[in-house]
Amino acid sequence: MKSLERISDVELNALVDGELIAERRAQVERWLADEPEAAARVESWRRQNDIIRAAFARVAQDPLPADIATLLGPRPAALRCVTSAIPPAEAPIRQSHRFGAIEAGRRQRMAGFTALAFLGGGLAVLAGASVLGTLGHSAGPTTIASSSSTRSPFAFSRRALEAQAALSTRDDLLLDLASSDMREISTFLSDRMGVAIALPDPGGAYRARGVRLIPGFSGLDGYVLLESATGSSAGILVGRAESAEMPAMQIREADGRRVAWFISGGVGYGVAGTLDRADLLTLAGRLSSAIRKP
Amino acid sequence: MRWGREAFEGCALGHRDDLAKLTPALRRFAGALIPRDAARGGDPGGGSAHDLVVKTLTAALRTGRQASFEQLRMWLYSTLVHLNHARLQAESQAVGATPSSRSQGVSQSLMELSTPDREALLLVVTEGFTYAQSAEILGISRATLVSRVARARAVLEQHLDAALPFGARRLLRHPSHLRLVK
Repeated sequence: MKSLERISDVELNALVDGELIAERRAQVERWLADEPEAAARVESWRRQNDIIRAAFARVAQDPLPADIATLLGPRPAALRCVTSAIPPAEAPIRQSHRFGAIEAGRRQRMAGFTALAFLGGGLAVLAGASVLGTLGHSAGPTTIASSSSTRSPFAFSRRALEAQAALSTRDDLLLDLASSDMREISTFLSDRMGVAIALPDPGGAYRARGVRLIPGFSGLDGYVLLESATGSSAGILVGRAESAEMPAMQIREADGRRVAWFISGGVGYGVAGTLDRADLLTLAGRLSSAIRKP
Repeated sequence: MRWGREAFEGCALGHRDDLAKLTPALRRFAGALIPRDAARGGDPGGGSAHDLVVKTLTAALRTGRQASFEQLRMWLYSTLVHLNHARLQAESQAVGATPSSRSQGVSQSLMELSTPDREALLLVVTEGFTYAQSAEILGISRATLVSRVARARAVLEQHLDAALPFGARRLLRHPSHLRLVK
């Protein structure tokens, strides 16, 4: 005996796609038992699904093409782990689920920073043991890790050069904050580093791409990536410094890269890149003037 | 110290690992979605589908983590769909609407579907997303999604039938207890 109820095609599709709750599914299947035409249509759709799935199943089983495998390949261990330790840029620290220990406050946050610095140091030892200074990624950039023996201002400049060489050269670099707004970047860094940071717009041909957090001498440092219309690569390392002030701008050159750095209010600022000396001084001078402005 | 330990767990199960797990299915979807590549049997080894997968993964690497694996999965499909729309728009502006290329079998039949209908059907059928998830990925209502899936099936019923070899066609037309296997 046929049911008076007519089941719509929408529901028949939902049946095929497993979208009906058990009770409704049973009702529809009972109805189909008396409706051979509709039942045949449903069965035809199911076979259609099987045919489509079978047609494209092979692609999902093929090995990944070389360019995709490279894109998703392992990164230098220190960088990979440090990035994993950073809460997502979109989520303020207090809202983080993953890093619940941070919510307890600054004291626990600092304990976390200490742990991170310790782990980062361990990775640096591991990285140093490998010939290229990296693990599992021979083409990868220089490993950046903190070390208690590298707290001098000179070491800060070296870190700025290393960060620039390692981070500014990667197109696929995972950023902790992607933004060109220096106010947003400053707020982000202030929150993460626990000190007030106020970076000015770089000006000239430069604009910010975003921030990558890295383990510093004392907590987290921020590396602000800059991009330039002229193609020269630059960035600003911002990190806690041991000495309170080093007002005079220092300049250092190594391997075709230059860094200009200074320390103000216990925070070191290092502008590094492949840019020429005049551009470097202009960029660093603008930074220095803005930061020292009363 | 818990924070530090979690950092290492995150290191083992990081963003890139999640992307690597999701990439094969994403390639399958792209290969089925894009007619030109679907015409080569859905192999996204080159061409637009491959480019879209690479662009999607690059965007994912730039954007960083999502709140969960499932959110990352949905984000990837949504991004690929949007990139494909942009590609189609650019192509139609550059050379005018191009007729879909012809080949045999399922790929040819899928080409008979409009892009929105094909997206909806493939998300549900080959990728196993629920109606709600598929609707969210495509930025449409559930009702619209269901309507697209139903329309795609109706169109496929005509074209798949003609495109399949006789044995498979018979199976489609006269369902039995036998299941079609690859």
